[in-house]
Amino acid sequence: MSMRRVVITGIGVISALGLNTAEFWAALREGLSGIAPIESVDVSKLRFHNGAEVRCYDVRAHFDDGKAHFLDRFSQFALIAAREAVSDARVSLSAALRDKTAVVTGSCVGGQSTEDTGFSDLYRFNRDRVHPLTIPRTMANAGASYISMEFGITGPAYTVSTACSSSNHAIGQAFWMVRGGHAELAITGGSEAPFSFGFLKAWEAMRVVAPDTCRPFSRERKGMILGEGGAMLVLEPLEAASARGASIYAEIVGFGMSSDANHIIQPSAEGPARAIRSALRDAEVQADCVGYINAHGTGTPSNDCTETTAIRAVFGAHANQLAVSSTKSMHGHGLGAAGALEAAATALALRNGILPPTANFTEPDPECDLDIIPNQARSSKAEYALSNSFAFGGLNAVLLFRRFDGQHCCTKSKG
Amino acid sequence: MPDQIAEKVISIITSVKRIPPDAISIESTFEQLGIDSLDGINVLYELEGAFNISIPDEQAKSIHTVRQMVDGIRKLIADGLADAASSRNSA
Repeated sequence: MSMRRVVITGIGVISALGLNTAEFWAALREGLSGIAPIESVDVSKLRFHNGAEVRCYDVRAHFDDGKAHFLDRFSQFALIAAREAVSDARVSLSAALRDKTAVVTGSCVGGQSTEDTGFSDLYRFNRDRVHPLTIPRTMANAGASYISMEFGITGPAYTVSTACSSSNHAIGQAFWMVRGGHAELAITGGSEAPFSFGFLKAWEAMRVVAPDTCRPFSRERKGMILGEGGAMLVLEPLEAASARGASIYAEIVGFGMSSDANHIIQPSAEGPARAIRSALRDAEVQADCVGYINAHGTGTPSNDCTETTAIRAVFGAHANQLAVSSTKSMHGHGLGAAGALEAAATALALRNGILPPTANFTEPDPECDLDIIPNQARSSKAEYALSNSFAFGGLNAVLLFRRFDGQHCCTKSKG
Repeated sequence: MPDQIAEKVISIITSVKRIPPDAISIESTFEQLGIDSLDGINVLYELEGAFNISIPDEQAKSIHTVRQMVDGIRKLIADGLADAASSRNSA
């Protein structure tokens, strides 16, 4: 089976930046942060009080009463994003196509809130049973399952759980399936809803959450800010998308993975550098063709230094020509949804010729000496863009995107 | 009391790092003891439970030696006692 070019023809996003893709992009290009005091959980017993929650979300606007309670918030986000992506792609899902469509989603903790509520009632109130929907609401593949049921998709469907790299691993595998002819269409991305008291307490114990806001690459950064939401992409072979006159956001051209084999929480530079090189090799693209990187950029002291080292190791002198930003400064760290939110941001950046900034930036850190697009978006003619995800556990996944507008200019590409 | 705090801190490091107590002195740095970020948050968790205190993240980040840890805990205990006394006086 020959390798096919794979394009993104639909995007759906629900996040702290709004309830759809248009609101997401409008906030990103304006450098507006969705980080605010947490409202869904009582934070009086927490050391941090801010998060990037989905606001103004009315579940009844998306699900009827009979269905809503079957879905944990993370599955709701997966399905809402998938609906928007499929609608946006304007693709007709015939029975034959549905049989050859893949659904690959990412989620780190699945229905964490359902589990937290059910189990705490069990322990605190000495209840002798939990709700019968606890298992189907909690399982991390619930989002993929509901997407498959909603659209009658009977092809391969599964969920990847690799902490903060979940969505990039999911999108990368969906990309490979479409490229290699194992699927004719894919709905892929991820979702997460991590705002439950027990889970926030667990993050507090990790001591990596900022008390104020997320300031990736700034000298005074104090950590990450948790975020929630979902993002889904529709992937198709270029030939099929062109044949039906689909609007194309961007092309996915490469996917690379690696593992640090080093430490369960401390990042290394070597593993991420190998994943970036692997993505470039997968696309047969030279490093100096890359113009933009949507960084993992968590805002923790160690990640941002290590990621800078990894980028410099791969790109050498070209690192000084690269624009790098962390959109986590705006939509928060979506954990298993992070890669999907950032893939959407990267595709929209290439489509619009505008690179979203690193918001909340205050002053440079000499150990993060990259052009990190402080606070204000900028115009760009970048042709290739990377999106990095580096997970706890040392599992790294990197996607490489290409602008799709018929004006490809980088002569060093073999692709 | 100060000696008891130091003894408890060393005992907790001994338990978390699985190293003998005589390998740890009040002057030991975390680097010398091989305490990485994960060990660090484990030690802090055990200390909070042992002394019934809450160690702020910012304070935790500035601790790199056993002595700094003992001094920091002593201060947190003193602040806690002062707060409790203040609460009693104002009640």
